[in-house]
Amino acid sequence: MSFVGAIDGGTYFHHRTLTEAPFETCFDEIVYIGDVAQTDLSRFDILFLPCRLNSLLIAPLKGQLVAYMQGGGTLIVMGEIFPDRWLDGIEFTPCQTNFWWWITGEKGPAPRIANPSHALMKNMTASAATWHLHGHFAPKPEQEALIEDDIGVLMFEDRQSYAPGRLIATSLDPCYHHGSHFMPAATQFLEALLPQLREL
Amino acid sequence: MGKFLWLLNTPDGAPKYVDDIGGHTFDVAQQPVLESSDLPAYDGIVLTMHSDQKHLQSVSSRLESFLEGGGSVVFNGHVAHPFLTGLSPFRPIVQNGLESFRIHVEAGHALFDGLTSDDLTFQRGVAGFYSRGTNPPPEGATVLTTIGIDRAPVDWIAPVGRGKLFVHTGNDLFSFLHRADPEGLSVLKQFFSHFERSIR
Repeated sequence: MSFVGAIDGGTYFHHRTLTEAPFETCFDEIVYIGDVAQTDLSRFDILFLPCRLNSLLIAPLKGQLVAYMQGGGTLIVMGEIFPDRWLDGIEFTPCQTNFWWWITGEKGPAPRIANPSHALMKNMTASAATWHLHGHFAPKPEQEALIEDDIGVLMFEDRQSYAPGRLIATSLDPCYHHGSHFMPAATQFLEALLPQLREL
Repeated sequence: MGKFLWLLNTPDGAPKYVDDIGGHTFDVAQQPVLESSDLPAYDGIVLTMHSDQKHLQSVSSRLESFLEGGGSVVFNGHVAHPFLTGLSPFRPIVQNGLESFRIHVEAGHALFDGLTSDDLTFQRGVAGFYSRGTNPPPEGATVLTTIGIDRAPVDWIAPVGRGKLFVHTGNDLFSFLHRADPEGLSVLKQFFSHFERSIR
């Protein structure tokens, strides 16, 4: 069973997602963002970066995070951390977020589970991944889609660029919404995702 | 004319309207400047929902001194890590239909003059965006708005030394104040005018 770490940015939505019920048992150790540079990350099999960690604080840690993956670790980067700004080889196009499609009758997000056999997708459903979008990845050949729609990729896994470790990234931001006590689908997304981290 | 320090913990800046709130100036900066800024030069410090509250705890003595000296702190979010005397951890409401989310404007304070329950309760006819719980106020605070049948405090203001601590228990008060007058920004201007120092 994998040993799971998470980085805490000190926000209330990180606090709720990482340390309160029902997901606090999904993490073995929480590292505050200000302590990451002094932390040996190699003890984690999985390192989870919750939504909206400030990319200006993550970017200086690039070397440490790349070394972590190249040492065999799995880095999971959740939405609005903009990995395209601090990792190489990621193409991301933000979109105008339509928060109101479910009121206006406009076409809403239509995600598909691209790889249902992946451990993280075992319990995932399209409806659990449906609230609103912030943008799409244009995947490279080494970036295998886990969740996608007709426009692009919403979550991918790259097992090649940092082998023997890997990068998993999504543009969806469920930790922010769950942590703010709204958007039930975001909580459902985490219910499908987080208990599976130890199965990676 | 007020001068405010608007602190960020995201990479992409403050809302565009901040530069257009007439009569006030806003210095927009990343949160770590709290460690070194000349805080007494400001009338108030604006803390967003993205604030790193663990970092705020580490600079609490600077914030307390600022308040004692007549400055104001305006906080948005859920208190996860109390960083000032008078703050207590967020408590969510039980979400049970519209009346559990209804925002009540309590009488007796000019800060929310002109705003109605409906202004704050609904966005496009949907309730639940303004707040989903309470940051319990300290003794001596004036409660400005409340939520639900039990009227749990949402917005409150408390005197601290010669200054003021304002707390909004929600994601972003300013988006609602902006929407109340998106062209003239009069409601935002009125709000920030309340935090101009009477003494320097």
